[in-house]
Amino acid sequence: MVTANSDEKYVVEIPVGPQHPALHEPISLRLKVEGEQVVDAHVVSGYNHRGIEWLAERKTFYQDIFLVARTCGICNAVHGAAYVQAVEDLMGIEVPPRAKYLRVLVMELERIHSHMLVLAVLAEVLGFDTLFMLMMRDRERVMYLKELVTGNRVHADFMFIGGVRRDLPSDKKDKILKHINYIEERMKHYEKIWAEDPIILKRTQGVGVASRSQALLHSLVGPVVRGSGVRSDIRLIDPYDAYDEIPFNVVTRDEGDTWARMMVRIGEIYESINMVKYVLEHLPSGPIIPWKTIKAAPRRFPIGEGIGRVEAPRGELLYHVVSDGKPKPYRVKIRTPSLLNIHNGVFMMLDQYIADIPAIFASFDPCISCMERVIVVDNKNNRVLRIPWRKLADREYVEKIFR
Amino acid sequence: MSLPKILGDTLKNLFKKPITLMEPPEKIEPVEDYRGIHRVDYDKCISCSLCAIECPALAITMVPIQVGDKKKRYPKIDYGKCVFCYRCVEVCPVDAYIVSNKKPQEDTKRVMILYSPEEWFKKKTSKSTSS
Amino acid sequence: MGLISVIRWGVKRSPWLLHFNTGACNGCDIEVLAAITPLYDPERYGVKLAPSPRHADIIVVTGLVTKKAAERLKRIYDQIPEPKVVVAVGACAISGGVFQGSYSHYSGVDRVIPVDVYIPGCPPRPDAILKGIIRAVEILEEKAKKMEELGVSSPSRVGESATTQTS
Repeated sequence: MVTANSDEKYVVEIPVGPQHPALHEPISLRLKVEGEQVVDAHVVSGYNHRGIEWLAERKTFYQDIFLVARTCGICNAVHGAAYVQAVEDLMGIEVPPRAKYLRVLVMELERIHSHMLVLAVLAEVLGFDTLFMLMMRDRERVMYLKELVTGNRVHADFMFIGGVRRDLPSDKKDKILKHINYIEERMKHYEKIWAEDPIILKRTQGVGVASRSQALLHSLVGPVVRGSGVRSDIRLIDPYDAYDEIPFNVVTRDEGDTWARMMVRIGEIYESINMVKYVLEHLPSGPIIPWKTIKAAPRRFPIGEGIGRVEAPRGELLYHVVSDGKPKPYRVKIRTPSLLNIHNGVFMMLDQYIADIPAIFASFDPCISCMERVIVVDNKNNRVLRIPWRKLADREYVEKIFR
Repeated sequence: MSLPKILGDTLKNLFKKPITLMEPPEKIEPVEDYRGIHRVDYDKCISCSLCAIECPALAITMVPIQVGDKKKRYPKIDYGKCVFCYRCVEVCPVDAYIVSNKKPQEDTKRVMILYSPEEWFKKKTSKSTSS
Repeated sequence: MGLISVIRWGVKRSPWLLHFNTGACNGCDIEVLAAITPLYDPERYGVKLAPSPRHADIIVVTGLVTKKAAERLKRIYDQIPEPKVVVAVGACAISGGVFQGSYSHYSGVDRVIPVDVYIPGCPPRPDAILKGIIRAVEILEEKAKKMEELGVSSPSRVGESATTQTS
């Protein structure tokens, strides 16, 4: 048997390239294998870089709400919520209580649909087509609920500086409750399948293990680190919006393999369903924005900076907004959770078989469109520049390099 | 080895009615307040250009039209660039936008203009001269 | 009855789809994925996802084409055998959407390869995507008929395009 440290050096490099029937996003995963076991793994990204931070400096604060929401389609409500939180921190205004509860409603609906999507995609990658089709059929009900509350199935466009854009009339609450109860029934059925089915257990237990100290050393975030025994969740540590009034539990597991990460996500779906029911019961009355009408929102912003921090379905999301008194921001900086999990998480792929690699990669819940930051390669002098973010805020320096 | 737990589901679905929406795709209706195709009521428009300034996708252009003895600018929407965020509907000071829940149609051309102000004013002047 | 007539009969009844994301936000991709689920069921039209460019008839492109992905898109387009149809899904693929004017991409798919059907929306609903694919199948049948009239005896081979021009 060929081990990873043997003397025979027949190492083959396999590119799992940008166009692949299993991946729906362009990323290149370069694996070096000896026999059937992986010796080294390396991620090449950059196919998805669109220049969002550069564009955000050239549009107004209000146009930026729609621009940063389209960084990622699966987690678009949390990107909007984090940006809006950073601007509210900059301006020092207070959000009305009804708007806080409505924001929690949309963000939790998004968490349910995102977790059901990754569970279905992992089942497809394992070859279990029946479970993929059944979970996608039940996920359509969550998309119908999102369309009912916000007006579109995917892009919510629901957040606004100081509150939300649309109100929830009371005749929609019964429809939401009916569909949420159906989904809770079906999730009990799926939890039994994920916990006891012999096909899934044999293919996911013991595969891609990360111990507690390894996960903390490589700074992983989100359900990946909660599957290794670390109790870290921004809704608990630093509560925002209405999370300090809504009761919930943080789900953790100790095994640290692919199966544990999926069971953490199933537990979080139950917690989100309970939170949605609590919000619908205890929704306070009142206005949804702190001004008289939405057309009276201010055009001048004070000088300063603000930070927004939320718990996305994949981990911790951080926004930093700097303003110098004009109607357009001076600098918008985005730090997404997938950037850490994917580049640092390849240590879990070493010494595994090639056939297990798609399952490990899908269990990180990769969102490639969130993770593109830039490294400048100087072709004439053959060197790689790493630009620190303070220099990236200097507009003349950046334009000199990119033109 | 025990049987997979999903056999119960599969056997039940074998004898039930299929869940597919059987009507042709153009007849499937979204919810009532879906963000669909929107258009301008040119009688109410006061040519302030706020919708063109605030659009994040730069989909609205203001075209100059001769009305009587004045020359004013009216908005024209390109649905190939529009992202249906409804910021223009929200920011208009006289509420001149009419909303609907129709889905946008596919086409073989890149530029998709459905309602243009030149045709509207031409129809209005021809109607007033004929009556 | 040449080989082309058999192909023309075949593509109308079972067109295979290839999906490529050239730098999108994933909103259009999860709607393309939702379009193959039981609620919208494209398999009654014979449509299924193909694993390789050599098996495909229709290519569905999402996303504004970044400069790094444009080279790969051209290579994949050349590998698909004739007759073929290109479908551009979403506001970003038609004209760049909210990201117009940036330094790192060509805004729109038709700056790199010729496009036949455009589907607007951000993102378009799965039933709108299905309707666009049905329109693409009709265009595919017309192209196959034109190939038969021109007397092209067999589908083109590596890298050749018989009836399309590139911009």
